[in-house]
Amino acid sequence: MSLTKPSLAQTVLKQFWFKLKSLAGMISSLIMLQLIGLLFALGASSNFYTGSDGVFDLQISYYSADLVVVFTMLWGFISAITMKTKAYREDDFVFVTNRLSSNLSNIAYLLAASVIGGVTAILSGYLLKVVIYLLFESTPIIHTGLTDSLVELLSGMLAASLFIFMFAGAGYLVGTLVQLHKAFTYITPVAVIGFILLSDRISDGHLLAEVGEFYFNEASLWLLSVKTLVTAGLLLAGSIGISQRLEVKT
Amino acid sequence: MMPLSLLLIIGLLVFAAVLFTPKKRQNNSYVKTVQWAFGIYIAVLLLSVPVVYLLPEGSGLSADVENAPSEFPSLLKLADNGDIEHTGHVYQQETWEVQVENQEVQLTMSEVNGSHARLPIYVEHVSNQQDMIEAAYYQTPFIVEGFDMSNRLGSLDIGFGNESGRLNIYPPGQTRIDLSMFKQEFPIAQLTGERGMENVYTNSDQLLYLKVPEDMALNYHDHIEVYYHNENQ
Repeated sequence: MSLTKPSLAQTVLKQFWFKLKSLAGMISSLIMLQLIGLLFALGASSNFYTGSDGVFDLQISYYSADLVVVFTMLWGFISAITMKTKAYREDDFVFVTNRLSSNLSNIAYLLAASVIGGVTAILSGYLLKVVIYLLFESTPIIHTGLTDSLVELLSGMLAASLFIFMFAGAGYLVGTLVQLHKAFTYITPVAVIGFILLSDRISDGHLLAEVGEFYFNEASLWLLSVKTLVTAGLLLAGSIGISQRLEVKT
Repeated sequence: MMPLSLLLIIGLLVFAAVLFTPKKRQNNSYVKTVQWAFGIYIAVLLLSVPVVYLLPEGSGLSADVENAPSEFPSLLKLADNGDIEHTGHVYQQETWEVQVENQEVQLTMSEVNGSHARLPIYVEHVSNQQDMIEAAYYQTPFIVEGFDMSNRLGSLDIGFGNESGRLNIYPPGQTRIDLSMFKQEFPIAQLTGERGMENVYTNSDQLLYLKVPEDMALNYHDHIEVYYHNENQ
């Protein structure tokens, strides 16, 4: 019998480092999804303007790496779900651990992955500009969309990371529900879509639009951080609460 | 129903992605390959940052109009106030002097792209002008995202036939301008406030100002927009 009593923090840290090395598949899928997003982003969206006197016909092609960010958020959601699948859960039994430390190490991994995803997603905007300028665009580029300062860039990366983490939290909850009972694989999406449709009928507003405005219209970094972290915290706390009720090797 | 179809598409994408995400492998060589690939990807991303700052912005265009006003005065209002030749002088593009023998002149305007051009004409009858029409074409700048594109717009021309008694106006043709812009990614844009593309351009105002002899009559078709000085005064 071991005389040492590892602390929760030490156990979580060990599991976190192990997962960081072993979950290479998620990093490869991040790279793939971001490259696919960049490919889609090469197609510009266009706005047409015509002068009231018919004197000019102005066509402006807009480029943005928004798709890469969206794909990365999707990746966070998917990765969190896959972390709760059997193949990944088995790793926890390499260590002497409990569900709490397992969940905490998963959350720590998701946080690290979110930061990596957020930073690379924002940086991909620069790669997009270089590719378009050098290989594709022949019309004059009148606005590069660059940030005015490093602080703005870092704030954007932080905001992107927080969004990804929030989506990862949602994915983690979905994965935990499916772990609880396989029927949730089908119940969850049906319940979400049904709830959205029902709330649209009851209220005047559109739920998805209002939720989107709540998060994506927030101009204060501080408030945005609070909103996303509280949301992610609630989702992850719910996951931890549900998983505590599971059997040892479920 | 748009959000529902969007939700369904996203749901299908997620389901497919979960199904086809590579299962975890313990293969050491795979882990090393991924580490290399990630390292190269990060290096490419970081290298692209300084390269972007070296790219010229707006190459081939005239320099930024720094401190340019976002709004320009209405040329029609300036003409009404009798101020077009003073305040509006900076917007004057071209002038003509046409010798006219007729007391009646027919105004005609060419079509642009098969439809009637909407070029306002402001007429002032002056007493100190005999047998001559003075014409001046005014145009305010056409600014797109801080770049002055006025030199890309077409120019106006006029011609007079003494035999036919016609003053022909040839408005500028429609100019096609193609440009590209990069938008900030939405996590940055929502914090910096650089949101949608509002006020991308400042519309260019145009006016043809005619000074005609006091007793000269102008005839024109209804589709030509003509204003007279002191008409309502």
